[in-house]
Amino acid sequence: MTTLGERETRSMSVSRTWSAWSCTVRLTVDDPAVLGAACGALKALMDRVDKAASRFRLDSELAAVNRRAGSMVPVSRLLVDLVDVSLVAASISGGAVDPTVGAAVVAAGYDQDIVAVRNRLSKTAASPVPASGWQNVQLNRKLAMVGVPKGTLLDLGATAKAWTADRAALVLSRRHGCAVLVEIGGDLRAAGTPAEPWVIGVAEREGDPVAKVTLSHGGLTTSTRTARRWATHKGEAHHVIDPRTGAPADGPWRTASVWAPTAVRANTFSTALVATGEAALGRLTLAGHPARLVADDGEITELAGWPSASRAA
Amino acid sequence: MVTQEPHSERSRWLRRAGAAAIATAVLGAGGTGLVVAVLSTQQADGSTGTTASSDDSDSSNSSSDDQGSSSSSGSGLGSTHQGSPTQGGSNGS
Repeated sequence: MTTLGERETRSMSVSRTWSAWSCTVRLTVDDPAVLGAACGALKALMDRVDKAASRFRLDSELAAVNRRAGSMVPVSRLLVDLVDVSLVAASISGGAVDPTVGAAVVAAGYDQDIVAVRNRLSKTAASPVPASGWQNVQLNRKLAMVGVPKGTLLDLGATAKAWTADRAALVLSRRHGCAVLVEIGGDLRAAGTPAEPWVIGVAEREGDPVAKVTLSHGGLTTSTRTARRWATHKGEAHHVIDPRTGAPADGPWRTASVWAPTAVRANTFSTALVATGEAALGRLTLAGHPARLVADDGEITELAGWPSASRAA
Repeated sequence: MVTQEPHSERSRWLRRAGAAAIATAVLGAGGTGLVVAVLSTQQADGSTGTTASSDDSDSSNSSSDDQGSSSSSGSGLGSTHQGSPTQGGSNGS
C-alpha cells in the first residue's frame, strides 16, 4: 500500500543537468529514487549515439560511411535506426530536412565541434554545395548497410538529438514506471503520465526571455539560426542549411518552436521552418501541429493552438 | 442406372464445398478489411511508419514505436502562469 508520504515523494520531480554535444542536457523524473540510474542510462545511450553518428569523430560509423562513399558499408542497428529516422524526416518535410547536407555544412565552415569552430580564426567559407538529395541514400535495413553516392556526406545532426530524446524518454519511462522529461539542446520529449504537466520555458537561446507553456506528453523542439553561429570572411554563418541552395538559411523566421507527438517529428517541422521558410508552412498547416515562429524582426506568430497566454517574461 | 443415394451424397458434398468456399471468401474479405482498417488507423496522423529496430536491450522501442506512439490525441501543450517555476527548457540550438 502506498502511503500519502510516499505519494508526495513520488510526485516530486527532480532533475539533473549536464553538458554534452555542445548543448545542455537535462533529465527530469517524478520519482527521485530512479534519477541516478536514469541519468546513467541516458548518458550511456548518448555515448552510443555519439560513437555511431558523430560527424566530428573519425572513429564513428558515420565517418566510415562518409569516407567510403560510393559503396555499401555495414553498420550497427543503431545507425540503421538513426539513418532511417533522418530519411523519414526528409520525406515528411519534403526534403527541407535533408541528411545529405553534410558537404554544405562543412563548406559553410562547420567542420569541427562548434566550440572549436568559434574559437579559431575566421575561416574562408567555400562555395555553397546544394544537398545531393536524401533519395540517393541507400539503406538496407535487413542487412544493416548504408551507402551514399560519391561526394555526399551524411549529417544526422538535425534528427539524432531528437531521436535520442524520444528513445530515452520512452525507455526510461517504461523501465522505471514514472514520468520522464528528456531535454537535449532544444529538443524535449515527455513520456509517462506526470501528476501535473511539466512547465517548460521556450526561448530562442539559453538565457533569453522565455514563453512558458505546459507539456503533458509528446515532443517540443526549438530550432534557431541565432545560436550556433561562427565568423567567416563573408560575415557570420550558422548551421541551419537550406538544402535547395546549400547555404545557411535566410528565410523569414529565425526561430521556430513546434509541438508534435514525438521530438523527431517536432524537430522535423521546426528545422524545416527555419531552413526553408514559407515552403515548410503548408506541410505544418496540414499536420496541424502547434507552432511559435519568430521572424527576423522579432515578430511572433503563434499557430494551430499554440497557447496564446504564453508571454515572454 | 444411377441410384438416389450417391446423388444425395454428391449434393451434400457440393453444399459443404460451397459453404466452405463462401466462408473462406467472407473471412478473407473480412481479414483484408481489418488489415486495411488497421493500416489506415496507423497512418491517420500522416506519419510514415518505419520498420527499423535496434539491437540493444530495449529493442522493442524502434523508430516505428516512436511513430506509433504519436497516436496520443490532442496537443500536449497548455497555458500556464508566467510565474510558474520551469521544469524544462526548449532553447534554440
